[in-house]
Amino acid sequence: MIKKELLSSRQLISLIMLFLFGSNVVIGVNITSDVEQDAWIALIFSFLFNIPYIIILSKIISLFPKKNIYEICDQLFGKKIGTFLNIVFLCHTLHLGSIVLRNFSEYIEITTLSETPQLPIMVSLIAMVIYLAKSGIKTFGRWSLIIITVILSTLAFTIIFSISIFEFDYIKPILEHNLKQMSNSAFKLFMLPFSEIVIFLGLADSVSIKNREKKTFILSILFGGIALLSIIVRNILVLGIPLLEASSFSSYQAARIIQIGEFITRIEGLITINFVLAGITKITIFVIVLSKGIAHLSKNNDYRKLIIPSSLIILSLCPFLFDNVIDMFDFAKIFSLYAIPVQVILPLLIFITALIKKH
Amino acid sequence: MLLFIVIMLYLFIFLFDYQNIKKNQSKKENTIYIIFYISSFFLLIMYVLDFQVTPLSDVIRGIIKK
Repeated sequence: MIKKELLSSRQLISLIMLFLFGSNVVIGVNITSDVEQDAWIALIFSFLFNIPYIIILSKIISLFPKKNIYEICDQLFGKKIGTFLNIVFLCHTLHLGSIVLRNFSEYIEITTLSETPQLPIMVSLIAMVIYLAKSGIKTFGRWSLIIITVILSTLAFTIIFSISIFEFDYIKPILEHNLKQMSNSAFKLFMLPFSEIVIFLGLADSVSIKNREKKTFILSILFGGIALLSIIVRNILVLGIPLLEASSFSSYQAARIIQIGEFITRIEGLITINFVLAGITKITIFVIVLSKGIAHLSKNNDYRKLIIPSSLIILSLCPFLFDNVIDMFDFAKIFSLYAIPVQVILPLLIFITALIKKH
Repeated sequence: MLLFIVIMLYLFIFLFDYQNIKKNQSKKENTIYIIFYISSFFLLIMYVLDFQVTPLSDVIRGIIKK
């Protein structure tokens, strides 16, 4: 039997934050928002969905300690339905993992390596992911603590040095959009990025936070939310809505404008490094969850043996996801509908069934 | 060039990971392992040889519209 590696509370918080940053910072958190300069208010509104959702996820983890979603489904729904639900969750994880990898290869191709085909970029990223995932969850947790520090300091750095170019008129008129538009946008922001956290149920057997699940999850979503909020506000104040809508990668565009005196310029390179680090962390989470699922279905007790095949299947699915970068951004708009069954209905179903069976 | 990268990648990874197939695995585990390797290899070869495949995003859009 393989000795179980566990994540501490702090490591889980930093992993969830990195997961939230991941691709969403690259494709711009505002991409799902139709409320233009009110996107930051929509993000705050999205916490009306986020908080109950996070409480449900933490309840599931506390009801089934040291069990991941695959074991929970098998226990709650029996072998046949449990296996079916596990396969659905696996397919969703595989698809999301490939989308994130594609986001990063598109980003790198557009911003830095425009003459390079995407395959070598994807291969380099996935090689890092394989190495990180093979190192084990404990090492991965320690890596996340270091990376989150680097990313948060860069975020603070870019915000502080862009204050001088903030144009506060860009954020006005505040609350121009009606309640229906705002709630629609808040729901879209809940679906992408916040409800993606359901993937962490696949890692639930590696979480060692007795009786602190709710607090840990709420703290991570709050910290992550505040960071995303500051990114949205920074991008709006620096670029303004017309430029924001015209640019594919708004955070990158915002960082390009920042310069300190005449001697510190072009800090967008720093942003790219951060994005790639967060992206690698996010893809690693998908790979680990995917290999745990496949290991569960094939009754293999060591998920690490399946990390390379899982990474390769994520890599090979990437080129067939979208036609081009425009198609990729367009898909983000319908993502909220597509992801409802797995990201909202499945955890709700597990939670309700668990409550009924426990009483 | 891309075809060369894909073949070398698989050759390298397969040799590196070969011990996993041999060691301590049941027949069922081996089958799943091999299926994953072969399917991902063929998907990448399809991409490199520029096969015309409907993107997954279009398929999902079609399902959602229905």
